[in-house]
Amino acid sequence: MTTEELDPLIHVPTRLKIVATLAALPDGDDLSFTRLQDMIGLTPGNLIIHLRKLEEADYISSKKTSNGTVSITKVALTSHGRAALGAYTQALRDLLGAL
Amino acid sequence: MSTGALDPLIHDPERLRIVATLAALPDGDALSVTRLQDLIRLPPGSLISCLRELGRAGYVRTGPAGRGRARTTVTLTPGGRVALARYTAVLQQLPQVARPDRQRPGPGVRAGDADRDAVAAALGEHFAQGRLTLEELHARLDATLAATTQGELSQALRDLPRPRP
Repeated sequence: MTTEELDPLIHVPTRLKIVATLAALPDGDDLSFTRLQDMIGLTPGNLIIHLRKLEEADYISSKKTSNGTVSITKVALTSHGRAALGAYTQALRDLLGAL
Repeated sequence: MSTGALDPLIHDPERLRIVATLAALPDGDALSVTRLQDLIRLPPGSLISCLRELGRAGYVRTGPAGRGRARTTVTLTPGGRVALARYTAVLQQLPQVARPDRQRPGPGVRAGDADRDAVAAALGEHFAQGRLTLEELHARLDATLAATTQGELSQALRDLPRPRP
């Protein structure tokens, strides 16, 4: 039995939640930072750190838009991130069988 | 979405592999530590420290067994089995992690109007793409609108390709 390694970048529970939440969106859709924060229940500082790690690996992309007064950050899963989550869940399934 | 916490004791990749391997044994069966090490290929030191932590939580039990060479064996305790089941259940709550067909209701589950409409729409699409003749479409639509269970509904689409997810 060769079990593929569980991607350590995704395996951290908080990041797993972030990636799984973003993956639930239709391909190409994004989510605002505040909405994501509500859904995951993290402090902004904490969320930013995890997002930065994911963005460095090109698993997510973020873009800042501004309409003059407020600026909104939108976060989306990249196709690379989606593939990484797919490999990760496959590795989990190989391990646990019954997912 | 309130997802319970993932048991950190099990979530650690090395311990997860140990617990999953032991869980694959029939209930109550023990594995020798050497065999476990072969299966998991961890350095002996890490394996021992993982087993110690799992043992402290009462998830595994280690004990000398057999005669001759002092062979240490490992067993998943009932508590460990429950903890793994709870861990798996938390994972399944994460969208995109649970296998989609696990979320699909069983064939005996009653179908509602929304389910019938979805299948009818899919049939229309297959007709439009030339996979069904007009008569086949009518026959299947009749069956779909009369369907009372998920199983009957899936019959209407049995030989048609699924749309790409």
